Amino acid sequence: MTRRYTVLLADDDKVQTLQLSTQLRAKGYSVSAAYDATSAFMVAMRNPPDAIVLDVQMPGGTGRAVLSHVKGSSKTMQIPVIVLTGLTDPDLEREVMSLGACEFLRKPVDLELLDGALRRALGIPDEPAPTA
Amino acid sequence: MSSSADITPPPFDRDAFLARVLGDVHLASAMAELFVRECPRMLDAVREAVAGGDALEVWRTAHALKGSVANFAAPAATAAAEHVELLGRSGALTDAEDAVRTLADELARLVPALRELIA
Repeated sequence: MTRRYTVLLADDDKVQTLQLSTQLRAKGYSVSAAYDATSAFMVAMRNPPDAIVLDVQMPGGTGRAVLSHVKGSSKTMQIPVIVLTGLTDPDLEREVMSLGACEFLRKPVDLELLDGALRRALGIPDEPAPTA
Repeated sequence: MSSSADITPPPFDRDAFLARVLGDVHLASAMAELFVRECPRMLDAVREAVAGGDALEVWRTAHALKGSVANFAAPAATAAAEHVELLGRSGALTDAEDAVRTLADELARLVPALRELIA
């Protein structure tokens, strides 16, 4: 990556957040974390990241509310939001995509899947495959 | 005499978990340490929600615990947490205390196994 993209991980699952933040930093992203919905929205407003990875089920309000607020504010509406969920609702993907999410991933998510979603969301070209 | 049916599967799939963290044993250790520290508080939150008859809170707290456990490729503990989660979601808490006991038993198997990963 030619520039260091900033990613906000908004998820109350501290274990997964530790995993993904460590792995995304190793990929060259700058990562911040929020463990509840209110903090996530505050961080997004105060210091808008290049992308948000958002769990839809968090304390302090739902991720859906965060998504609606982010997409409803002129300051943050351009930020791509990738939704993560451990919920099994069949209609959830359609719902969050209609609220403005750009990608929908089920937990537990692996790094390559999330990195691919971030690259698509941020318009980052795929890294060339290593040559022998 | 024991048979193959008596063999209890390990509480988590170490290889699958290490594959998920791309073989990074330091990250695996840090994740295990964080979970071992957070687990009692998370289980207490589920127990309190069940004791209080608060189905929505049972759903929310069990869902959070399920998500955390699932990171470790721990199918039995994940299934036990999901069972409690579904009871909370359905609002039918009659069997919730038994389900939480099963969940606690699975976590009591998982936590010592994860401790072995902590550097």
